[in-house]
Amino acid sequence: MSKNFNKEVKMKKTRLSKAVLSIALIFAVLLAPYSVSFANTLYCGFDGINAYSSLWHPDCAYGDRAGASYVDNLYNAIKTKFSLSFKYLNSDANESHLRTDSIVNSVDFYAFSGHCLNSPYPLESSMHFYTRSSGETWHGSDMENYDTVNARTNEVKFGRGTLKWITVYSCNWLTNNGNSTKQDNIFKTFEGATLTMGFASRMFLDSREGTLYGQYLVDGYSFMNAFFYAADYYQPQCGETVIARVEGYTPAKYDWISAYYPIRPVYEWYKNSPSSYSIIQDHLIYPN
Amino acid sequence: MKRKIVLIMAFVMLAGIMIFFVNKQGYPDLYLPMPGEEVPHVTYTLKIDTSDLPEQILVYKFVEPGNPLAGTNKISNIFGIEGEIKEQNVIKGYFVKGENKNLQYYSESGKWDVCLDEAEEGYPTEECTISKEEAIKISKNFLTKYNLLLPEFNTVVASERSQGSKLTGDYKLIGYGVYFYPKVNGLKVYGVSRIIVEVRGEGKVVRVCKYYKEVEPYKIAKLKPVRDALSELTNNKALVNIPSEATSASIEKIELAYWEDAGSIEEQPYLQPVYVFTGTTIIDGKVCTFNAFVPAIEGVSVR
Repeated sequence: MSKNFNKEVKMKKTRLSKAVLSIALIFAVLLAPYSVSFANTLYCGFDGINAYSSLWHPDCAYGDRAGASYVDNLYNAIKTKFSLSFKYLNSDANESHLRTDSIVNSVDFYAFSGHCLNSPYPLESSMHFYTRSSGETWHGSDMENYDTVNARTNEVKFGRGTLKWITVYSCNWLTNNGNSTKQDNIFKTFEGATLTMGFASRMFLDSREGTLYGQYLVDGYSFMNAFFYAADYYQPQCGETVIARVEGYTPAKYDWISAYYPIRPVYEWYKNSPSSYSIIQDHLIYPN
Repeated sequence: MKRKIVLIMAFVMLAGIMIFFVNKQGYPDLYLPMPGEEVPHVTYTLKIDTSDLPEQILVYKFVEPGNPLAGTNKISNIFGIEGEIKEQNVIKGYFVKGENKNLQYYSESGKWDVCLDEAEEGYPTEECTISKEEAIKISKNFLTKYNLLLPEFNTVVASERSQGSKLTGDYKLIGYGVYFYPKVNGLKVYGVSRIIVEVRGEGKVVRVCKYYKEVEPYKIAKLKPVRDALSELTNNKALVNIPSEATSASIEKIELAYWEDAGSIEEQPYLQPVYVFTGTTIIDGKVCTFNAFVPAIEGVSVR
């Protein structure tokens, strides 16, 4: 009797353990794609350019901008939450960084700030550098369309390592000109990364916007809202509409620095799962 | 001998500093953010008579916002935000996190923004069913209810908030950002002076931002001649939003306006006047309009 009772208790315990295990497994499967992490160290990296000119060499035709100051300010605002992997400024910033997995894709958060060209390549945008990736630390006005000073949409792949979030604080990185091929080229940059914050129009560089964007991120705002709100504060009304835009892996829309989707596996890169990607939100600032 | 040289050097430096300030009439250069895309070198042609433009203008100065903690408490009370007040050193402000609401107060400018519904504001799933006109009406009523709508903020536009796009076939309107822009001294204020009300779904207000600094009249300043401002524009010492393909353009209108810088009062103490050039250029047979902004006070340039 006692033996049978013990056996029954043991069986019940086994069944209970199995049930608990099953429920745990179901939860694990459901929650697998969503990682809530407070302990992981997050790494950031930057390319930013103020000086598109030099005392000793010819100047870029498009003039100096506040890109290096922007990424400096952004880093200063987020440094309590991110460790710095790299910060290349001015002539140290190089378009080859965008094509090198061991640089751009080695961090969790990457930001570029400087010029971004919409015109030279009809179906692509290009982050524009002063240094040529062929080795020279400058380019002149006759070299604006050189491949060595432009990181083009079709040669940039975000993800592949740990990179999840990208900010391009410049004009037009997310402008599609109403062309679905150009939009598709933008989506194709997602090879594991989840969100790109940028502009789909002309915008105006104010390095102080980096501080506010960073502060909002640290305060716990989502990447999307932090970017939009900083734009609301700093993008001026000056006769035209500024379009702040976030696009990428749609389920990552709520992501913030303490709760986020991990880097996407190959089968969920845009080219393998296009329906998972979208223009997540547009935030228009109309002029007066 | 040494003493004489030091005295002469000090005199030269002092004279230099005085000339610098007299030239600028005591006003600092104006920070105008520049576009992050190519700005072409353009030949501008003036097609209008500018003789009716004034030679001087009233400059305003920003009013110090007072005790920031008192300001934070005041806004918290208005919107019923109860929570710990956290001081922020990087942006110099205070953050109050309430239940589903929060307040960000900026100590150096007296600006603030309030989120009234964190869930709705983040990524709403509900489609917006109201029109722009209704969103503007709701926003006006909201600001009036809280006594936040000043009469000078009388230019109102509603900007769409959307998910997806018509190009990708998944466009969804989720709301509007209603922007209220002011006029001062009868002139438009460009830059970042605005009140924003975010409206979602069927008309729920989820966020309100007071993004302007208060001003008071300061002094009459002498304006630079229009030809000097045009010369600065030609040399790209201006904020200009002309298409990058442009090579020549005609200026069809010049007006005076004010520019509010986004920074602290310490960085730019004055609401300074700017010349606003409006013109056209032809790109691929199409007429494109553009605006350009040049600091208007004599001696003041783009910083």
